[in-house]
Amino acid sequence: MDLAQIVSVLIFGITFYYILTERIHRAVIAFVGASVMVTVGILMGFYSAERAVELIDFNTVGLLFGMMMLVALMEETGVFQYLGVYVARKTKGNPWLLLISLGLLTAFLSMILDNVTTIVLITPITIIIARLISISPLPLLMGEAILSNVGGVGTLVGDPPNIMIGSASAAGFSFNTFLVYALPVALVSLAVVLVIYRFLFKEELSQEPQDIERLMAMNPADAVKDPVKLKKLLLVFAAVIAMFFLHSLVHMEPSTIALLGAAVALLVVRGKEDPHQIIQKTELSVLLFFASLFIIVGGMEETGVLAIVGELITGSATSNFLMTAIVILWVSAVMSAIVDNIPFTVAMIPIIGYLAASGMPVDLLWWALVFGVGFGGNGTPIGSSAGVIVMSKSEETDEPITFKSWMKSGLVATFASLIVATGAIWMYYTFEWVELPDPDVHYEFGAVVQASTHNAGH
Amino acid sequence: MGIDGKEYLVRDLMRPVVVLKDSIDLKEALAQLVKERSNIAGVVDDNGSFIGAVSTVSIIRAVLPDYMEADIVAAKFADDKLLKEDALRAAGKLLHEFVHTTEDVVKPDDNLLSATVTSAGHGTGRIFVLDEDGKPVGLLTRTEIKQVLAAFLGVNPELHEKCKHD
Repeated sequence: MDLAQIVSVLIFGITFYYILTERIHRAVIAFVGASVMVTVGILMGFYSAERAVELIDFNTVGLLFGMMMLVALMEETGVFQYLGVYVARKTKGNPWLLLISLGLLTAFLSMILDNVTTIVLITPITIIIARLISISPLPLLMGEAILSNVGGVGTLVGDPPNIMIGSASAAGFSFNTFLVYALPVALVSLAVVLVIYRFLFKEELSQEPQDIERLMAMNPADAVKDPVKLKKLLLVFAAVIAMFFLHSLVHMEPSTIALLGAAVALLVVRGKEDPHQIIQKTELSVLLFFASLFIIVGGMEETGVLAIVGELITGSATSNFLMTAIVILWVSAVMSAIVDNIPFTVAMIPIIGYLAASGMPVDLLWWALVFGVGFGGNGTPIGSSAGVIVMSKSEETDEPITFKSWMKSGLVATFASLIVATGAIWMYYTFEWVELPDPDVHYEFGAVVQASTHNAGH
Repeated sequence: MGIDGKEYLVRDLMRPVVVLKDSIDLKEALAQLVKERSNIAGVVDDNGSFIGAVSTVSIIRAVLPDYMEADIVAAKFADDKLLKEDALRAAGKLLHEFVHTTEDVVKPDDNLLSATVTSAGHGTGRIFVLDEDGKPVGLLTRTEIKQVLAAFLGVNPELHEKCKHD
């Protein structure tokens, strides 16, 4: 390794150490790391400000920003609480049916909206419902946390890592590609987790609900403050989702669609108001974090460090492709259970990207990464934002979710989801549902050489 | 410039303050506030030093679970029975768990302008008056400040007359 490579690895290592240990706010330390990487890169001649800006993935940042704006507008309408009360009333207070209905509602909302917003708005109404009919909120809250992460795996916009992987994958996974390859895995995992929870929380789910009339007296419509505004937003949202389905046909990036949707939504419901209040809700610090990570990893790419890492794993990837995918799946899951899955994803993307640059079809590895970082977050309560929020909200209930109680049910759900994902990876490989490396081809960086030609040349 | 040439200090207008120890619980604090017909009290440690305030709003916040306070829409679906449960659950919370620190303090010998600036600057209506040892000795509310301002403009005959006779 030359000096530039050592320096870029040092900057990356120190920054990621502080991100993962959370001793400094992740957006602040990532911003510092990115600034240092660019400054040192300019001084040493391996990086430039222009190149750093080029390496920020606009698709990821734009899609996140657009969806954040839409969600910020949507959460003001009370539609989440409306849906929560609506489905809860249909169960007539049966705890098992409540787990299914509220859990699946959270999962499906998380497929198109960010998990944090969904969880923040669904958990209070869940606790209130559980208290009104005197049942344990524990299985409901655990189910919502776990299923929001599982649901998020199913779509391109369901989880920030999916957005990044979708954008980075050589073929550019579309919204529909996720529906074909990731959604079925998420749906099977949802069903498996629900069945497991039926047994894990047998006692709680057998409780006889009391005072059902208090639940039935709840009128979902009371949650909606401004029905006209809600209808307008739902129309815009439906149009955005429809465009997501068609984006590869109309040659529009998902980010363009999300930003267009956010612009139209702002115009129709808040056209005369300063958008400052909505922009404040969009967590600009998350966008700063993402942009900074792209710049830091970009610095390592420019010095050639990622090429070295890529070359190191090329051998194993070509000799045992299925095993490589399964290792990526499980290692990603373990890492995501312990640390933030976003920096891990950002670090993994260029490595798999380098294998793709050699001409090797790596779709299977991308899917392994999607499932690993998506399901792994459920392994511990700190593995995902949804887990952290649900644990905090449960603190003031009669049965707060503790680290121990999470590990008892969360870890089982994670393991089950990963088994489902491993099965899916095996099927994709065995039945060749994704393009696989050709054993007769020798893959090299920057060139694809037919084995016979390659051999003949030497 | 005071009223009719007299410079008024905080001590001239402050009202008595309810003082509670930080070791008592929410139920006892609420009983004191009800008894004293006050919506705010100064909170002191074992030495009598001021450490903050507890108001009716802070008691309500201590009673309400965070998940309900943060979601007004969801809270619409709760009922009085839940509020009673929450109140009973919070009754044993000690004051030091939810006392809020405040910078809205003045000294008895500060002038009214200082109190008015403190009130306006912090957007608060209640300012604690602390003596040299940091012990609460009075409370100045927006009512007193309002009356002084009204007296300046000659629309508060009662205070105007009081000032004339002092």
